[in-house]
Amino acid sequence: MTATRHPVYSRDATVHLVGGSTKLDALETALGESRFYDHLEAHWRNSKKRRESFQIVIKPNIMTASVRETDSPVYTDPELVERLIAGMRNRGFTNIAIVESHNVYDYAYRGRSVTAVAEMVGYSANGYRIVDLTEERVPFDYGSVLGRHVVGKTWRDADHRISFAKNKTHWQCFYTACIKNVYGCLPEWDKMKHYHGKGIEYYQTAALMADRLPVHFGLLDAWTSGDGFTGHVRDANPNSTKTIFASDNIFALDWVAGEKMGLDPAHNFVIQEALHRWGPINVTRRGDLTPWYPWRNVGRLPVVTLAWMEEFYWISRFFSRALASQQDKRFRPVSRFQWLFGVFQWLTRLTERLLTRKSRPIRERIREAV
Amino acid sequence: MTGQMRPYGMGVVEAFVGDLSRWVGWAMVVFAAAATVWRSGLTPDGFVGGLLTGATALVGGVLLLGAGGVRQNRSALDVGFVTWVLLALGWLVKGLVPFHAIGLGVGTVLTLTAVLAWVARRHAVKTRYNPRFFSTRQFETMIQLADVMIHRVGQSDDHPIQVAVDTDHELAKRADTTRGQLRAGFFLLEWVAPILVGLPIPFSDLGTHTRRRILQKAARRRRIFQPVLKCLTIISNTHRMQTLKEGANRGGE
Repeated sequence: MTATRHPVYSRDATVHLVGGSTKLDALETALGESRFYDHLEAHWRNSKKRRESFQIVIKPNIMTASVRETDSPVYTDPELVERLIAGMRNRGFTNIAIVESHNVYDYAYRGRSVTAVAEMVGYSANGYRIVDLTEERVPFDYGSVLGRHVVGKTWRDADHRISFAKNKTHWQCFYTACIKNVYGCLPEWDKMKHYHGKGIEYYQTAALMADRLPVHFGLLDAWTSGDGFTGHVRDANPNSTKTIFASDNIFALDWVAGEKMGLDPAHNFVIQEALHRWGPINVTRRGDLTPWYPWRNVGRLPVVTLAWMEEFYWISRFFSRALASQQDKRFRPVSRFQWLFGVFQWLTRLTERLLTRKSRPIRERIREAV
Repeated sequence: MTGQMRPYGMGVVEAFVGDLSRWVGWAMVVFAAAATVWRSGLTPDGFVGGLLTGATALVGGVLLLGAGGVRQNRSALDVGFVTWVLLALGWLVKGLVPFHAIGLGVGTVLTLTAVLAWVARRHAVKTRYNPRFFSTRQFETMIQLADVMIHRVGQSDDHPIQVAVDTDHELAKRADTTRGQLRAGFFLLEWVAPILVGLPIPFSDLGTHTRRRILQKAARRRRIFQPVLKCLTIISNTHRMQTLKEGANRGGE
């Protein structure tokens, strides 16, 4: 007996890990080796729609960005996303959108619409649309823990969904990749209130979103990666990992992303939930499987502690705002209680400078010796 | 390289429970050894002080044994956790009457870590399997029960954890009267039925053969263990239904 079989995620899959001289070369090679365009064409033919009306929706990681950085370890590289879009447009697919929804940065800063943040990080909206899922909510019955809730219309109506995630650690689940990235399609901005806490867990909602509105292809931007305790929001020492992952099964892709970090992927709550839902599958890995080095994972104690703490909405909300220490100047702080949170944010900046340092070369020597 | 995902490995909270037991176990052993060497400074004087020191070393050893296999050595871990709490209380009392600062400190640390360990252990089942129908304890009983049942019916390809998860999900979909029957049955099975084989130890802590013997004996005492037998029937039917659904899904592909 296995968990409920899913038409996309319960199939055995291949994950391609591709390097290259430049990130754009690596992306092109990954798309080629994973036969992305063949996959897209087959999907389009099955839809029986005209090419220009076949709607392709990409979910990159955008809203975790707080400032614009060259080769950011935090958000999906817009250059990569736009190269993917250009490739699809060259094949006649012109109905393309990138989507995101507001997130808990709204506790602390104003004006963070998806369009504004996308513009900040460098998306041009040239030849595609930028869609804010929070602003186009429609009712949707997810069943399970979410039941009757809301969904972004563009994500719901997509003919082909792509999750283009960022390779980085996460303090709640060790790491985040394509399934957790889809959690960002859940439209409510106050995610702590709607998708965390008693009776509902973020990993359930992430897997449920992926289950009900399946993602047809996954890409992982691991050209520059974020590690350490705060890897998912900031990393003072980004890791130049120079790899792009590609697979037609995001479940398999996320599993391999965990292996590359030297982790047991099943320790990730999102993967654990996915395993319960879709059962174990065979995964073929193509590429360099050597774990990243240097790389710092989040320890068990913080993950366990945060898993417990996130049950309490006001604690989560407080820390989400207090730790949001860095933001582009165009997004002004929320004025209410800012005199208090300003102090916490200043303390966070100070602590980060004291606690953050580069990986020590001694680790490399120990590793080689072992 | 091709390989299947490993679905039933330890969850992160289970691993943390193992880590915590190991850290505290070592701390207890080291403290007891140090207290033996520098007796007058570290522990209260007299017979009770010596008894607490010896018990600390013993509980530390049991915790280390339990930490060696959070699932396989769960009986050691159970004993370790219960004695950990008793030991913490012992140190607290001895630290308060008469006042002994180190004794009180040890009691406080042991109490806090024991609470953390209990909460984490409970949380481990919840976060690992997120049972929808069973309580966390019932879910653990269900895994052990499934372990016996699937071997009995010769379906060794099924993993007890997966059977437990599937049964839990299937039962959660039903809004019928089985909830109360199952609760009573699981309580009897976990805490009372082991007496049938002369072991006043929770069902979940026993080995497969002993658990099977218990079920066989319970089947012969139908009147007393009626709720247990009812449980087995419900679970068997649920399991069969799941298998049929699974077969239908596969056939439909």
